[in-house]
Amino acid sequence: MKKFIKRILILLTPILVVAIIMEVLLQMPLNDFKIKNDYLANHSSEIETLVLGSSHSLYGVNPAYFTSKTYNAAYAAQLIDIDYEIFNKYKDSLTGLKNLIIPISYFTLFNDLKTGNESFRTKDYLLYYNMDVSNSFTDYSEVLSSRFKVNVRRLKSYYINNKPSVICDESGWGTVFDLPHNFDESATIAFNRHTAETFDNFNNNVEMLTSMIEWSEANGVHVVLFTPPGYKTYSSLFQEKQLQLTKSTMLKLVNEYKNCEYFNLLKSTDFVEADYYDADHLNKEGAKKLSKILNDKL
Amino acid sequence: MLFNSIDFAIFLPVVFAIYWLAQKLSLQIQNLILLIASYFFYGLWDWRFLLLVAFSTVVDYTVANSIEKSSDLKTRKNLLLISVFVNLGLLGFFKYYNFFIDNFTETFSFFGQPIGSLSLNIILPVGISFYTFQTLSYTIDVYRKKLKPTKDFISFATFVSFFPQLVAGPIERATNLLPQFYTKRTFNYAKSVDGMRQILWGLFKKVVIADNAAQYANQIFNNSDDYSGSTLVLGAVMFAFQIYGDFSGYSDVAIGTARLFGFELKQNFAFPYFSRDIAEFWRRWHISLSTWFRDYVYFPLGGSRVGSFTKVRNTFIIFLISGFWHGSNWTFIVWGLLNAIYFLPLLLTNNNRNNIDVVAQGKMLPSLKDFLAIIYTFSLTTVAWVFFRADNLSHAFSYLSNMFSVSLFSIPEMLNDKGVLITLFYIFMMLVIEWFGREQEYALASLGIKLNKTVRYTMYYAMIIVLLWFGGEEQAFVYFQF
Repeated sequence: MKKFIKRILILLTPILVVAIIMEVLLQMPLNDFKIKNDYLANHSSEIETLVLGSSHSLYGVNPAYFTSKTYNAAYAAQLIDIDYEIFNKYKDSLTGLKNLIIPISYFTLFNDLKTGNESFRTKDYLLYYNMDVSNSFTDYSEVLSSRFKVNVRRLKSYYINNKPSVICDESGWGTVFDLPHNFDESATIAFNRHTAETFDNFNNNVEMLTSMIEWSEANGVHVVLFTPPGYKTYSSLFQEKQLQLTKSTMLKLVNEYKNCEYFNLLKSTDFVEADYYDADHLNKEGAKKLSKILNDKL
Repeated sequence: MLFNSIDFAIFLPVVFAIYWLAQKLSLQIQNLILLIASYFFYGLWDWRFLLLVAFSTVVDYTVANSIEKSSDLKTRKNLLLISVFVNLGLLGFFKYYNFFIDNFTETFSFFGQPIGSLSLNIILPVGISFYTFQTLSYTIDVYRKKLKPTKDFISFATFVSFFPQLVAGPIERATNLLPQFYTKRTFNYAKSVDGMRQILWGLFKKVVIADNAAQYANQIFNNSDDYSGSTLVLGAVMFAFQIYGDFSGYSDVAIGTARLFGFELKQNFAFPYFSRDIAEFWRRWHISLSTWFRDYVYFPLGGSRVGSFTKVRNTFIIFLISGFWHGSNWTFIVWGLLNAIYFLPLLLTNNNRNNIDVVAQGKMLPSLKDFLAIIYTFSLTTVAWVFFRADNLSHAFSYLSNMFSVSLFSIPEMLNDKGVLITLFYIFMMLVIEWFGREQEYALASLGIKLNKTVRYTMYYAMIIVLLWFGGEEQAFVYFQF
């Protein structure tokens, strides 16, 4: 028995050593989650306008065009469940908060990060935001939570190819977009990913959103909900049921809460092809337009 | 809990350590540890499934002991019928209720008597087809007086729920596995190393071969109208290796895991893609199921020692049941039927036992005749797999008609995909390793004897790296749905 265990340990030791080295190397570089968490932890009392949400606001809302002190805490695939966790973690220290901006995209009310097909990202909030968003022990480790292949590519990208590990600037706005700039293919991919298989998460998401609005109402915070612009190849694919339910829910919230406003910019004619990276992400020019529009609404 | 998951990578050493530490206490405690571990393993899918396993265990334990106590043939038969009714009833309800109801309502609709849908939203308990057959064979063996029923409930419950083979076999016979629960088990270094090696090989087949082949098989089968005949051949071949890597990989992990705990399970796959005819293929594919049907259905029907008509009838029955066992879909039934059609000429000409030995035994390469026979048999099974994989019969027929079109002779479009070439390379590597290990129980069995330590460890590490590279998705095993 001892011999067996010894041999297994000998066999596994190099693998464990490599795994530990990989874990350290993966956690070491500065990343967007560390930056955003640090900023919120140290500067939340200075923030007047807080932007939450997914990549649609990460790339689409540039705090530089706001007249109030604005921070973009959005990230790719960050859905209502994570927004809610971030908001709850920092709401008591957001003493200067006047505006809360939350994008309501086609998928926002129907998907959640924790159980959705991008649940692999929950580890980032657990590891770098120190938020209790997962029950899986593998989410406490970069190595265990992502595929080996993915981790090797990440290490190669950062340590060998010297590619940046951070995609946002100091205001939290996303400046590095390295997905293909294809309006047809990206529309189909995004539509498939964004169309809900079930509406099981809907009530829970609305409940979390309502809770954030209610807290804001009680604390004199103006909530701006907006549906971001989408290029025609993307927005033309939407399923009516999912879209209508989003619209009717927004109407209901706006009617119910006086501190809450909703703007539907999905098919806004202000945005043209030159304003997009791909079918559902605004580029720098698009972000400038959207940010100015939002700033005017505050 | 999947074998290819981190959960299992933690679960296994923990249970292994507790189990062997309890060696000094008693055999009963070791069995109890296995029972608790097995229920935990199975309960992680859905705790409600445990009630079914427990129910099946209690029924067969009670029935078998009652059969033993009774000398009256009629009473014994009635008791056996209770077991058959309960086990097949559970299987029938959970697996086939909707199939029969849907076909029933469709038939009525066809004759102008539409009736509302009576189908139910039933979850198929993982592994139900495997453990019901295992418990059923126990009661039948007791009825046939081939086996003394056990009075040791813990051992019996562990035999039914033994976690390495609970959810996807091999379907063990009580005559082989149950006595091992009564026998003192001592740790055996060589067997444990062998078990680890078999687990590694099983994981390689599942994670590297099956999961990669599945990507392309799914892509091609899901869009079969868009591809040329040659690409559809590629899709069918990919599926052939997906199903093989998946199921034989699972069996290897199961057998290897059981060996770590001192148990010997029956070989479930014996390099079936090296078979020279369909009869040999069926002696080498899912052996535990084939022999189950042989012993409990085919032989009672008279087997092959009957007239030609009965022989043909029995063959069709056995293959149709085998197909239907796999799932409540006409595609599985036609798959079984097609295999029966392949098998019949061999049976009727008494050529079904021509290839009993290992192909090219003791030789490096097969003869041209054997090689062509292997290719021919593989082609037949691959065509049959189209039915197994297709969503429905019309999908299968349209797939085959597109496959056997003029574009069959074109170069498959998907060969431009680097991933396809890499997958084909790994399939080729697996076949090479299996070819050289084909005289053993599994491909790497002789690794410890034939290769020196450096080469052996290099091979282990190479396999682990490839496993890690492709792993992480935790794809479920195909046979869990059966």
